[in-house]
Amino acid sequence: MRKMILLRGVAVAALCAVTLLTSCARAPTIERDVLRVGLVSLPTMPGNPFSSIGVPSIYTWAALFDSLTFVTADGRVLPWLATQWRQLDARTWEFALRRDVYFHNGVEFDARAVVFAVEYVTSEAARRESLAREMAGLEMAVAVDRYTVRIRAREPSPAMPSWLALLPIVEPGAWQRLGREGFSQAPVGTGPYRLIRWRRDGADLQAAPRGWRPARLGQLQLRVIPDSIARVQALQSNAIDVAVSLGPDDQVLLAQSGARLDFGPSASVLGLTFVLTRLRPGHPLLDRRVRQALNHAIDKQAYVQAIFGGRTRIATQPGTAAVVGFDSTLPAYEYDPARARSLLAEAGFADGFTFAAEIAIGAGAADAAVYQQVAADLRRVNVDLRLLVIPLTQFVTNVQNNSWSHEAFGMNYNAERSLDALRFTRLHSCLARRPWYCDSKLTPLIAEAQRAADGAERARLVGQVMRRYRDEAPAIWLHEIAYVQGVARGIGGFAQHNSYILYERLERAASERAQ
Amino acid sequence: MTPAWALSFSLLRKLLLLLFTITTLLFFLVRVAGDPATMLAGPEADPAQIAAVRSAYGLDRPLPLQYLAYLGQLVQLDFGRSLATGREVSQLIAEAMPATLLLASLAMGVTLVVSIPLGVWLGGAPLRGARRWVTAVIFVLQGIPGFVIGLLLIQWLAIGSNLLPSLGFGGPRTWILPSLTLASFLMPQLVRVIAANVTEALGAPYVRTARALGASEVRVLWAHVLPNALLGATALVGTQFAFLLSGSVISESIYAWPGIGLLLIDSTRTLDFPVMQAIALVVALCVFGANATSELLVGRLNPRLRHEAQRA
Repeated sequence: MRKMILLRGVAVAALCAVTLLTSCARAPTIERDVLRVGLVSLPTMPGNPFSSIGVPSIYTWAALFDSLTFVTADGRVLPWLATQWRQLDARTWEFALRRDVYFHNGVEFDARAVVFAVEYVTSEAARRESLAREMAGLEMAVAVDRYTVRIRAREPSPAMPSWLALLPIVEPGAWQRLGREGFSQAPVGTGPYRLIRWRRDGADLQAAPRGWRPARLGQLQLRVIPDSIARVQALQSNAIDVAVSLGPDDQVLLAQSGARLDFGPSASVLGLTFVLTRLRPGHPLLDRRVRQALNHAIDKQAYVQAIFGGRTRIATQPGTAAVVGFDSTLPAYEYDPARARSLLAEAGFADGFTFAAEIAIGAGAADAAVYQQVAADLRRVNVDLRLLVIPLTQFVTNVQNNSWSHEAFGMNYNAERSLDALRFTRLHSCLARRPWYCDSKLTPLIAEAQRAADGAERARLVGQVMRRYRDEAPAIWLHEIAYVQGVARGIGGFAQHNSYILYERLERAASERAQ
Repeated sequence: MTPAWALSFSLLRKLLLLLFTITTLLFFLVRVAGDPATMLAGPEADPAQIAAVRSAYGLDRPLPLQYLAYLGQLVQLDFGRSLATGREVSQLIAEAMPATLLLASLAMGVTLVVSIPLGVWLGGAPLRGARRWVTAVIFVLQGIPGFVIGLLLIQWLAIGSNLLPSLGFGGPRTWILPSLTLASFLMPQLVRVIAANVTEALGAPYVRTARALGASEVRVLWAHVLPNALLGATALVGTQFAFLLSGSVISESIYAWPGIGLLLIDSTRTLDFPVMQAIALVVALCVFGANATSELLVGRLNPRLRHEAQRA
């Protein structure tokens, strides 16, 4: 009797569960005019485009704001809010602005907005903004007329059009009226989408009615999904259309759902950098031959093939093919363990040695796997590399203060988004406040390249800088970092340039829209 | 002093001690994690820029002064402003808390609905046949991390069979997977406790008496054994509330559930001290509230404790 009652109870409970599930059992409907993007996070200060640059903020800024120019993944500088430009003298450029462009609040874009942006990033008030550092070379801007603006730099700047791709243009009236914090809550730009509301889990945006880059889909939903596996699963289950910052190995999981991975080239190179200025005298890594030996010891092509499916390139120098001054004639360090052993023996370290590297996992796609492969390859030439994972906060502090506790660390050599090849020298040379690599012969060369008024001359000098870095090997040059984004089946028009997604071009296939 | 007053006084004393300890520890411990100015300024910032950030957020004042200011704010129930967004922390928490409470309540509901009958069934008879298998499954479930269960549920119910959405916070359909995942944190332990309590209670003299008086087995089990078995489980539910809240961090992260957990992850990323401190304080208060409630409930439900309190 007791058993019967219990069995009945279990049966009723099971029936309830089945009913509950089947009542919900309908395939998730796709709202045809909505684009859903899964992000790692929103920008720290959500609507203030001066507060942070690069990934992950760029995924939000790309929808809301524009800059004067746009730099493509292959290094071309395209007209954006500026349609033409010309160099007036070594430090001054004149930009003709696009007409009939409107901010999201209906105010027309003109030279005042550009002047305001330049004045703000160069002001004392902007010192806490990350972008102020990038724009430190700017001196002033003046409006020549409503649609023409002149911008002057502190130093000769042949590459000004490319680095102005970093400067977002905000609606000056809204910024002044709302203040920094207020504007962050209600940003007004000229991007293809305007903000409807921030949510705890993302943001809802709507196609800007008078957008000069008209969006093909009416709404954009940015969803914060911090966990990368959850982003993959969301893509698999059709809960989102685009998932950013995935790993190359996610292709296997996505294949069944018809989603695909898009490998976007970046302007960054991953390097295992040596803390040369803090090594004790006689340390093996102080010998250039040892550093070159370590570069020869890594089978980069093999891991690029195995981990990235061959969809990125091995690094030959601290810049990618897109940056100005990239020297395409420079060969990569050939994988040659015998040569590595011979160089080590030549330097007096035939028995190898041990060193440790501090790494912050998650900075690039599959970086953990890459570092482990590097350690495995080095072991074959008797060099024992210990990998120590440190939190991002510690990593940032170490970069700022050169407070590394070990001999090396993993870091990007970053030229984004302006593709200025010399950008990385601010950290990886004597120009840094507390450098970990200081080559006195390199410093005048960098300075000369920075001062060069002529673009071709600058490119030539940058090429020399690259060659010196390659030969001196202050790092193990690994590979060009790729941005790996997942795109759902039925989403067309996906394009990314140095992590900048052109949202306005994304569209749903006709078959998807019919659902 | 009546027992009720004595208990209230004791709880109040504990609460004040907890608040002081938590606020002090939190204030200093989160600062061990790093300098938020370095994170806000970025890796390439020079000292002047870092100093500008510190000054803008009042982080350049001596630590004791910052601590006193923090305590002063807390007394006025002011959690300050987020370093990252500049918004009122209390507003951020007020926006996020309902989602987390909803998730915790749903998970607790699922846990109780499943655990009580299952625990009674398992504990109500010797461990043979199906009971043995179910017990084994519960053992295994207890050993699987919650996020793995979450990912498996998504794979099975959202991707495989397309029954439920894999993320979001948009109505009852989106509640099912997160609450099942969170329930999985507590359920195995609760089932085992209830089963053990039921088994133990079945051997008690009052059960023999009830049977001798002709009570049916069902009545013995549900009317006499279960209330006693639930006494221990009530205490467990209270103490496990903390796990439920920490589990919500994982559950919210997997399902993009806009609650306290997601807010905590975000604030930790940027070392947003005011938000981190406020969340930890609110969670501590919730855990204290749950523990106090279970303590009061056990006191009320257990006649022996009630009588002891009255005698005291």
